[in-house]
Amino acid sequence: MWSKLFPLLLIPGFALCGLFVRLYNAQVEEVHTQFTAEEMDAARESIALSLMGQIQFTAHSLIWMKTLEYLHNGVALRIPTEAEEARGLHAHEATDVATGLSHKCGVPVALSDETDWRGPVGRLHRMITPSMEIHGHSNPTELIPWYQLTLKLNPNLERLYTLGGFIMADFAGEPQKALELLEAGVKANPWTFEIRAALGRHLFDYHDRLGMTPEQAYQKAASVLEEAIRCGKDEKARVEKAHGNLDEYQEQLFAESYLFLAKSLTELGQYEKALAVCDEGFKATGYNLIRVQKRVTAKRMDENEARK
Amino acid sequence: MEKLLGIAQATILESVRRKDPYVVLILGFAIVLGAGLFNQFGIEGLEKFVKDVALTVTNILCIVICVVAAARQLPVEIANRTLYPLLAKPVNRTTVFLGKYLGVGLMSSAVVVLFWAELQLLFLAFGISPGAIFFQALYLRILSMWLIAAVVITLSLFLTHGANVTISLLLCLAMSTFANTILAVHDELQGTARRVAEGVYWVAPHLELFDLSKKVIHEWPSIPAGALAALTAYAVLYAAIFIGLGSWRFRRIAL
Repeated sequence: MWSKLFPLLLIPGFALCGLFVRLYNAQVEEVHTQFTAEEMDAARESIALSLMGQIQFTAHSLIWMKTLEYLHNGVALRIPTEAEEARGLHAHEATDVATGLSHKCGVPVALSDETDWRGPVGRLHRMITPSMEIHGHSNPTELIPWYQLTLKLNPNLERLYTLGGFIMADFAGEPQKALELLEAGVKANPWTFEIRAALGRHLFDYHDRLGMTPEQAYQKAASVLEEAIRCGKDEKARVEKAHGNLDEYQEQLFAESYLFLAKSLTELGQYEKALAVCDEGFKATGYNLIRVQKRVTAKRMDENEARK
Repeated sequence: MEKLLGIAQATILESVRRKDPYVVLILGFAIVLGAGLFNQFGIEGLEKFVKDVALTVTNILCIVICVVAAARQLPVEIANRTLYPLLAKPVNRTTVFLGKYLGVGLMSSAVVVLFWAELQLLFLAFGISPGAIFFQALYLRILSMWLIAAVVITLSLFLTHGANVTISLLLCLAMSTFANTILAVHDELQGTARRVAEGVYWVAPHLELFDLSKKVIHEWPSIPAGALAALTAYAVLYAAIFIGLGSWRFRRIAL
């Protein structure tokens, strides 16, 4: 009887992977101080650790594909082949999703009426498999559990915390759960600027639904965003040193860190500091909304002076 | 007919004695327990995730149980020499083969129904209404069990037990990937390679056509009755070819 239960063995296997990852992440500092350079080199060449890493990576990739399938209402898409590209079928960027959810939309796995060589079998296939004539995207709320599962397997996927937080708050209407997720993200990834940027904005946007007074929320947001800018500068320097650039979503989060820090400081009445943040932010990112915020802050400062 | 039903009944009883139904219940219980995890997400209305996990696990387990049961029938009877007393009775080999097939088909269908009943309870507990397509998916899953049983029981007369189980599980669980790969590369191929790819496509059993899970999960409308009829005809035809082949092989095999 037990031989037939073997698929269940995978469940404790995955759970074990998650536990190992959790344990490893919690002790990352300890590892650096406890182990010698030789031991760290040996760990780098360890087959077991390498396999664990690959399992993590593969599981994450599979779940990411699953989330894309959900976003397309179950329609499986793939990158077009060269022959299909020659016929004018190209993968295009999704335009009706948030920046963090941007992805290339390929061609449906089930062939279209015009291209299918299977005749009635092809038509039957299209009836059985989800397929679509007009490309569209669904409500991303259903992606949340998949993100949660992925983060249990690999808590270092910063992007999933920011996306998960955004979807939880904006689409599922659960800002408190989003706050918990983002805070857990910062705890698991102390170096992160992305999650801090998202957390700071979240505190600013949703303070009235988080059981905080506006002042508490703006103060906390300002402190988180200052840290986000510091970490963001480090990350940007690191990436540029490696001859790379932050991606579009990272650029947006970095720019928003300045914008929402300026907004928070303005709300707290710290106008001079807010204007300095605007200047620095616009110089660093060129983000137009920061310039707009500078005008808003200046106007508020003038109004405040006039009242005095 | 009476002999055929007798052998089928013996096959089902053997499965019961081997505790297959208990396995089903334990696995089903595990699914329901696993469903408790869904509450941890703390977000209301996550129906697709619940349906996805439950249907995926159920489909895999149904296929595994069907393949394992079908693959062991004849090789085990031959290896244990329990086939000889059976053939000593006034029963021909074709009847034995068909009886075994009928037994595996009925047992696997019962397993699918049990699982689907559990899913229905799970969905009720979560306030999920799967719609008419859920029952179409049930019908196609049962149909696929008969097709799988025919293929596997026939292959058990040509391959070793291990090879049969491995190839059958690959065919059942990865057919969608194989078929989609052929569809993707078809236009890239030329000449003989293209003809071979097309040949493989037409010959291989298209078990992916019997899986409506994605439509159930993503709340698509039910499929036309004509599609169900076409798939029924496909399953009957394909199973008949394999049963004919298996029966012929079983009659000629040296015991």
